[in-house]
Amino acid sequence: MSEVILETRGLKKYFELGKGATLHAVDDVSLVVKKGTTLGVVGESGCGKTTLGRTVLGLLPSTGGQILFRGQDTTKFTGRQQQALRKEMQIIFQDPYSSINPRHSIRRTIAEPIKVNRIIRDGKKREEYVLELMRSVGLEPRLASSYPHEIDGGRRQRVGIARALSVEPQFIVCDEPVSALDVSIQAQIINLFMDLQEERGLTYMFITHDLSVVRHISTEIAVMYLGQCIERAPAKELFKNPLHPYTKALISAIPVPSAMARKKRAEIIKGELTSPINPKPGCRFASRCPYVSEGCKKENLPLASMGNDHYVACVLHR
Amino acid sequence: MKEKRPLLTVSDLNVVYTSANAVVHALNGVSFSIGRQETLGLVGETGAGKTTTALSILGLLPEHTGQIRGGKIVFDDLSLLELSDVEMQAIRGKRISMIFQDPMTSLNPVMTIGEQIEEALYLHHSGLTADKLKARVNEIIELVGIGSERRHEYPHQFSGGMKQRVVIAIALACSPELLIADEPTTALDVTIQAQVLNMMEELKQRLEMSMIMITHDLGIVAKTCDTVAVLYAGEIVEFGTFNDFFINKLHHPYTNGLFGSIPDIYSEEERLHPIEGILPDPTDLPGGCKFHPRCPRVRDICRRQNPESLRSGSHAVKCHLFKEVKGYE
Amino acid sequence: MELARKSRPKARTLLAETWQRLSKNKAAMAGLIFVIIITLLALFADIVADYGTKVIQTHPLERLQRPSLQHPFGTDDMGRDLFARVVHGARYSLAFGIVCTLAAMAIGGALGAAAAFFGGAVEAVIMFIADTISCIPGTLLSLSLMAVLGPGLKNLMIAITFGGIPIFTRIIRSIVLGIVRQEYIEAARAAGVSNLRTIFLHVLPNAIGLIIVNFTMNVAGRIMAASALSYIGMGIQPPAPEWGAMLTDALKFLRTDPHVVIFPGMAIVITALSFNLLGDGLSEALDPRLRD
Repeated sequence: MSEVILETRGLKKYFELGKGATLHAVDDVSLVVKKGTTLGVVGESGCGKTTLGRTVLGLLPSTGGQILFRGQDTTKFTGRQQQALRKEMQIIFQDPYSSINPRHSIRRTIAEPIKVNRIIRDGKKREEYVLELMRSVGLEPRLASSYPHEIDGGRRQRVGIARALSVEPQFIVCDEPVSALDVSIQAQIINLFMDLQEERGLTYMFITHDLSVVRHISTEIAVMYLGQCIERAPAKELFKNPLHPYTKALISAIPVPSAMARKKRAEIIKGELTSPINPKPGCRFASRCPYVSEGCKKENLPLASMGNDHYVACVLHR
Repeated sequence: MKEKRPLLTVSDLNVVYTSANAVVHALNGVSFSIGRQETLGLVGETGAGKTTTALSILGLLPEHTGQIRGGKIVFDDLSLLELSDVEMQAIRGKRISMIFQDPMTSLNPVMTIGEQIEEALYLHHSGLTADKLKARVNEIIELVGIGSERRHEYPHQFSGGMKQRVVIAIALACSPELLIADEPTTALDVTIQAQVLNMMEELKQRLEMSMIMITHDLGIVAKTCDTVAVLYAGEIVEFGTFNDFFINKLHHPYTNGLFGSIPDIYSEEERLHPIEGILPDPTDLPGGCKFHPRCPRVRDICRRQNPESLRSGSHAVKCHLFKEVKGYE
Repeated sequence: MELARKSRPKARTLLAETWQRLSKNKAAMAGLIFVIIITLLALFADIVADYGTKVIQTHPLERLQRPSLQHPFGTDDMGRDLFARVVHGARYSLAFGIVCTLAAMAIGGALGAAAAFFGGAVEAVIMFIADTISCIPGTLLSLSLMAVLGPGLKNLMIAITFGGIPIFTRIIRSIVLGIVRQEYIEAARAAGVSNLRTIFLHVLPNAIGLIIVNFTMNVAGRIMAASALSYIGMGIQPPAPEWGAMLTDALKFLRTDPHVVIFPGMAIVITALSFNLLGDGLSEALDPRLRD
């Protein structure tokens, strides 16, 4: 049984917009991530997955709840402890065009976290380490002196990955790392992620809106809607047996590249997202749910266990 | 009864973009046709030439940098490349319409959506009275699933999915015969995408329209398209019907690569099978078959000679390997 | 297995790439050449024309002579060689232009960067002060300062600099805001990079291009401001050969001996224009949207 490396308990992140309006970006999210696995966090715009990733990392201060990294509550960390955390938890960004400094060479970008965290002081050893990192992410070492604008999106994303790996973190938040890439390059990078995980025993929080990708790479998947986690299950189980009406609609909406596409009719959910600002109590999906009932609007439901490590927050599954 | 004659035929289209530094070979002999009430999927990755094809059909290539170096585009017996700008204007929006990828920038932020639809109508049906115009605008707004009372609202008051519906409404205002949709749902969430694609399918049936669906997503192609053309480095490397693509398993190596790159939610495969290498540099295209540097089954001839299109019924593939497949010539 | 990329003759660093693009812009290059010429003249003014005899000493017998071989720009109403005076005047103009703009940029820039980077109360206070000062018309502001400080070259430079500070506060704040929103700044934070290091190694190198452009564009403004003050007699006092001051004296001769007005006037115009063309060209050359 692998140990739990990250746990969030009732994690909240609210943004004050002034005039009494509060945006509930992440609302009471409890997750458990075991070492060496990948937790896929999936949802559409406004679900809060990106905010979740950054809050878990400590880039954004949380509003409430706890973040337990290897048993310690990071929400109570001092500045120095936060700084030390940078060596354990890292992030890979979505946009390979804006996430690396256009004025720095590749070498400099990858070396910076090593320098700043004083991991390798000797210049020559550091250079060797950087080149080794580049090789391990599939970048030719000769590109070390190149600048971002000279290489393509796929390679730039590899630079971002190398940078994140440079401090030898245990836990990496991957924020839509392949969404901005072409399909053929996406596949290369996804394979890379999986290889690196196996080689280095990494734990990922893989944030994406792409359900096909998340199923492929995740051990467990958490589905987010308007700041709340509404369902959580092992990856294959979620797709075989989705319980929450939103999850069902989400999965059926994926256009499948095969002859099956014509056979199944997608469950089209009507309407648009409600606002995450000062939300009313009760299920936030209620206004669009084809199975809505009175009980849905009364109070927020916690995640209930359905067995098989499958959790769902829905009156239909009490 | 559906007419047998194709609605649009593109033959051997050759387009370049010239800049101070380089010449970009965007389209290198693109040929395809689309029938009436048919949806053609134009599939490709960045730089393949999908948008260039669409802009060429509509005569919207950037004036100084984009040049059509050869080929023909015939739309319902009209040779589009020979028409004057004034004649093209009568076709754009009225007989052939286009919608773009990003609804955020396709709409004018300072005009109400009603005004923008009206503008599209007015340009082509200036004979209509003010009342008839308003009635038609309401009709179209309802057609795309927006309440007509929202005609006085501004784009920023609509969500992404709704904005795209407005864009579609504007494009369909004059009931065009052909709609070119350039990645219309890429910027939208998957559940909204499902709504919008559904709506487009219904409208297509109702208005008896043909559609060119430009996308990189083979899933969308499977859902909406009757015929498919795969674009790579400015050439159509494979063309066929829905059956040819999703039931028949023989494909161009690039198409195979695309299928192998997509994580399939119904398969148990552990690793994906991506295509090696990176997309070709359009200013410096490889010789012979343009896919040869990345092809897992490359042969000597592939390096020397660009393959001709080999056909078998409705399926056409530009690959030397298919010379050895029965039925392809 | 990677595709071999054809090596293009493309510049690597920002500097080389900018130069490549800039050198194709004829107007900008013309501006650059003039700026260099004017700078050289200013630096070597003493060699070109001796200060004592030609610039200051009056030669009443030679007054108001037309341009000739001996006096390329003619002489002014005190018989002084106009060419020599114009050349020496370049020193003043460049001093105001470059030194005052640099100082305004350093001070205004630091304030603007702090406002953008730290936000919140810091930003509110800084911008409030900057906005308030910008409400006062530039010339009026400089005049008031001169009235308080008293005449003299040093005070004039302080006054001119001060007028430029709010401009740069706003410009630099805007530039920095655009940069800190970029993901690589967030990436730096995630990697544990300190604020100071982020500002100097990440923000600044990306801002430098735009800063240089704004610098050159404002040099012209400072030169004009100084000339305007001298023109109304509040700046450099005669017999110092400041172009604006030269214009004041010369205006009464506009109809009879226009050369006394034309040459100093042209000097101001050409200098200001050169800096502007150069700035414009740099701005286009640095614009990442025009990148291939």
